[in-house]
Amino acid sequence: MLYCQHGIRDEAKGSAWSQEADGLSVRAVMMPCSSKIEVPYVLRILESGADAVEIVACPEQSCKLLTGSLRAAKRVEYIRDLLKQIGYAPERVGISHRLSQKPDELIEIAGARADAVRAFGANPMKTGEEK
Amino acid sequence: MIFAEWKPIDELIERLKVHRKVLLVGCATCVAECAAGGEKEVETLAPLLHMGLQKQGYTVEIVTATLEKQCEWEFVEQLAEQAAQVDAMMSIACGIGVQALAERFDPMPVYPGVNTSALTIREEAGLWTARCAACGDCVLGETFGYCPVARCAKSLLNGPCGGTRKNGKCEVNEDVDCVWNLIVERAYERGQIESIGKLKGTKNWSNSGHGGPKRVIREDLRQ
Repeated sequence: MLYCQHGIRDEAKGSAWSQEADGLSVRAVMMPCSSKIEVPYVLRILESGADAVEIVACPEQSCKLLTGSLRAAKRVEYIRDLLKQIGYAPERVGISHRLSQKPDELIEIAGARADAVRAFGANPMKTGEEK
Repeated sequence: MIFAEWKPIDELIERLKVHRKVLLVGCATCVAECAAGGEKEVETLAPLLHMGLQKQGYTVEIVTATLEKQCEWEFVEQLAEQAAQVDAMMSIACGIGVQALAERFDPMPVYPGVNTSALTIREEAGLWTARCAACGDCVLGETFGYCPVARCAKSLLNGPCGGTRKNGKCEVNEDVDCVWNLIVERAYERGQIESIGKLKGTKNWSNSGHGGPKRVIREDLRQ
């Protein structure tokens, strides 16, 4: 999970943290703005075996940098199109628009993304297959 | 800038699947400006190819490099060490860069990752339009700075074809301006409409691709 710094309320978590719960393993990294999430970052995460990537950006009308979350949403669409071209489920990358979430709320968002890709199985980088 | 676009990913995977380790090479000049072959695109395409190949059952390692200019031998030479570690290269520079790698690292296979298609300007973010056709006989001085060779669908040199839409767009593509409409409007603005009424003779195409492969010698620059 890559989230905008404004997406979390409890900064005690630090800029990068991991949490495991109910069979879900989440690695979260805070970004200065969702617009700083470049396409290669997301693809490298999937290449390394993550089953899905969730981006948490500010609501489009509340972005502190005005168009940051809009840019992030466009990049997600672009990445999804690239994934389709190699036979990956585009749902493996998603975006949520939230502000000031508690860490547990971010985990819930990650869980929703995990649920969305469960039907496709594990990342083909681990199994070689996409269901 | 020289404009290029990625080839279909399937085509690239088909090329690379027979290899063990591939060097994907970008160029930080024109193809970076058109978001096809710069460092960011190299680092986007590399994991994408790796994942696509792996999904089809092919284990191919993709390593990356981006040169400042892939069309200059001094920069190409910087790849020598990495080239010794791979069994193929894929270049996402223009066709000049691909050929430079193929010549320097012969007999290693060097595949193009992009199709080079035009000489363009970036009009705004995410929009490029053709502005030059490298025709070898520039007429811009007579056409008020608009190129009818690159920007007219029929490369007409003596006025519009008659298919100009009422809104000044080209009959071939409603999103494209009829360049002859632009030329005429600018001629009126400058009070020089009579200057474009003069019939232009047959264009000399021999200084472009029509005259055979270009070869230029400047003795003052040779060693």
